[in-house]
Amino acid sequence: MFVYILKRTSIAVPTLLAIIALSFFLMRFAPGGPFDRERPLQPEIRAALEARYGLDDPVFVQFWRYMANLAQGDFGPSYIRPGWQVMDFIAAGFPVSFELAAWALLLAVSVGIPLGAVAALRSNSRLDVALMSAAMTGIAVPRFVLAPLLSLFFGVYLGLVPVGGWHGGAIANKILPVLALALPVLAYVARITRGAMIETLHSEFITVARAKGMPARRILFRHAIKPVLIPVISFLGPGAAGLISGSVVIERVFGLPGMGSYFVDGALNRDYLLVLGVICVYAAILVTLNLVVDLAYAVLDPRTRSELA
Amino acid sequence: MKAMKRLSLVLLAAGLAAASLPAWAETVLHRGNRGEPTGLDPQQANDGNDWQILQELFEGLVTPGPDGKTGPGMAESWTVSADGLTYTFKLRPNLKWSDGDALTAEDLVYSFRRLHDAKTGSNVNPILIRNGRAIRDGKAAPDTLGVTAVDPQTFEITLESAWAPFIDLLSATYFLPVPQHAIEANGEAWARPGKLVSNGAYMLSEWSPNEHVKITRNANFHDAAGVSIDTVFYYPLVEQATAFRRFRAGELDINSNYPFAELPWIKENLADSFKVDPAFGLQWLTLNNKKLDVKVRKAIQLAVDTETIVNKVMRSVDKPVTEGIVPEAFPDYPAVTVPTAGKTMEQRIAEARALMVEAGYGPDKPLKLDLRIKDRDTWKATAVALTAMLKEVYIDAPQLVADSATHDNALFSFNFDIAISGNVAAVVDPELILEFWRPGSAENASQYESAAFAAALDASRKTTDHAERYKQLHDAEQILIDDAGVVPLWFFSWGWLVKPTVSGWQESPRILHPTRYLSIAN
Repeated sequence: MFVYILKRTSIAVPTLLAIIALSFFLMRFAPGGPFDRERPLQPEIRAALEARYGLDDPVFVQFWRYMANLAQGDFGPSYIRPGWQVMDFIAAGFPVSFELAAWALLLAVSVGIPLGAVAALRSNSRLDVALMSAAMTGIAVPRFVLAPLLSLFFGVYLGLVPVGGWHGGAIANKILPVLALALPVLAYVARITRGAMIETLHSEFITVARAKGMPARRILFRHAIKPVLIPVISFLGPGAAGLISGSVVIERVFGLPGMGSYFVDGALNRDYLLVLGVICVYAAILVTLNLVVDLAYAVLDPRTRSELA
Repeated sequence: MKAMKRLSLVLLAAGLAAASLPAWAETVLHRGNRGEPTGLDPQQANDGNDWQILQELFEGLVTPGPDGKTGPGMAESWTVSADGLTYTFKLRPNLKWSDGDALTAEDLVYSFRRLHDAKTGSNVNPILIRNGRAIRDGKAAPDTLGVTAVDPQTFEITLESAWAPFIDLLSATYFLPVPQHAIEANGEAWARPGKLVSNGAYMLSEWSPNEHVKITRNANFHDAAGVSIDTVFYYPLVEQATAFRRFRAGELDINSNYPFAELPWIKENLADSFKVDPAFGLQWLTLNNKKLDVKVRKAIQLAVDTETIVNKVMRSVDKPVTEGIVPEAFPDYPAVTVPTAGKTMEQRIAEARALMVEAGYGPDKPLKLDLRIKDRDTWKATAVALTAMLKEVYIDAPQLVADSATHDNALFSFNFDIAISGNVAAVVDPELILEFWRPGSAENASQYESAAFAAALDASRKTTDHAERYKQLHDAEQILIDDAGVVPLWFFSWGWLVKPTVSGWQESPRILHPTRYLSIAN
């Protein structure tokens, strides 16, 4: 078990480094650079700026310099915003994105699992069909359609919540973004739960438990739940990835000061180090999450444990 | 019971206090900006988003008024020497920075020298002030710049050569003063909240990246009494659809743009909130002069029907170019003759086709070109029309959409055939428009070359006689049109969304609306 943890952890760091290196070089393939503007810079100014940021050095030298700084926790400066360090932006944006994603995940899991379970228990009833149709809609409708619709309906027409902005994290400002972010994941979780629950409820060990006269509640919450949680948890790895990429759209649509905007604006402006900094953070989160999911398997599924022994 | 009575008394007192609060409540204005400022150092700012905020925080020697006209700022008056080379400014007495430090002519000397230092990274053209070019190239010391503090209240600028629009140019964001004491104390990071010191109507209170920039009234501003709004929030809203929703919900008082697709709806339902600035700038079709033969360029010039594009295809608030390249803002500027004048569209197409055949193309041998555009709704609509119009004259020009950096990079590395471009001139003057095509200029993506054109532009700078200057500029414009160096498309107007509760708004070709001229009715 310990060896398993060690093995999985030791792959994580090289994965992270590979992602960063690949991103660094891939970004340079896009035409143009941070100093290409609508009003072009005069040649001596451009030269002075490139010298200041070391952009006139060969790419490999720049890469080495970047990794050396990264090892010391320095993400480097922003090329587009003089005087700002990438760390400033990440420190400002990360709490916002993280909070949104955390609430969305909580909502998705705490509502999705019960909904899926209810649908499974009443499978093929009208309630089940209604719930699963709603889930299908949630999966099919892209966030960049859903978010503006929610904003228009509840914000502009009904005036119940603010249309956008963060307002320092006021609850009213979080309702729509968290909802828009969570709904597709919630829908997936509900469907997976339903499917897994139906399968589990028909399996042999449940039939035995029923035959033994075990109360339904105990069957559900003590025995059926673990096999159901396994596919849900294995979904949560890519699900979290979906939350992160979805947050870019949500932050744009609602005007929230999260990290997603830096991704998009940084790429469009060719602010290489800002984009890299955001990639580092996202990659670290995803690698960690996948690691946690893998370790959770070992906890939830005894078969994994015995395989490793 | 006694406790209840006490509680209700407390509540009553609190209620009364709250009811009387509006008397001291601060007036707040919520403005949508098109994006996050790249920086708040006036000498490094290159973007319209920055300029709007910077002109709130800082005030130059002269300042744009609510209608865009240049008026006294830090300087209450100025004189120009007879040869037009020396400008002497008399500063207002007792000018202060927002932290209370005195603002004198010495600060201005520092600011101008820093502006011309290549290390500062300012993109301002250094050729105007004496020795500016040499300093920028590192060939002269910064203290040789033609600026002097005659005494703490008098500041003098000496130019390389006389230039009529100089005073107007001085109101541009580049020439806003910077605080020497703050820069020396904080270095590069001086332009941040808590460190930024300014001299305008407002000072920087908060800058939360991607969330808002908050500026509050500067008590040390010389006209603080005339400023009626206490606090302004600038929200960086890149998505115009989002900004529009927020405006409709009442969360924004002003928004600096609008979603183009909603224009018909806005005109019908928000007519009293829709304000248009006739910008001093234009959009044009950049032609790669090195790649395209003059006959081809003339054919394109004839084939493009700007009125159809603007009025029927885009249906925007812009004005199609029908006469010349220079906007009609100058009553005494002589008119140019354009090759499209007095001809019907059929005649123009026939003429264009003849030119194309002469150049070696025909209906079976079309010229294949890439029409480069940025991802803007107006440009995409225009490109569709242009492709169709050029097809009539044996040119196959499908559109090639790219993001901003890719487009600009292609343009200025001359890696394009034809492209839609546009820009706003820093000053309302014909020369500033024609400068975009000055041979050898960094801004001249078309690589238009004409010794006669450059000579006429230079001649306009050598004379101090207004009529003579306009004549030279007119001649330059005529040469550019005759050579078909560029095909101008439309003079663009900038649309704003402004709540009817905001008063003091005036049309401005500078597209600048500093809050100090505005007030909110409650």
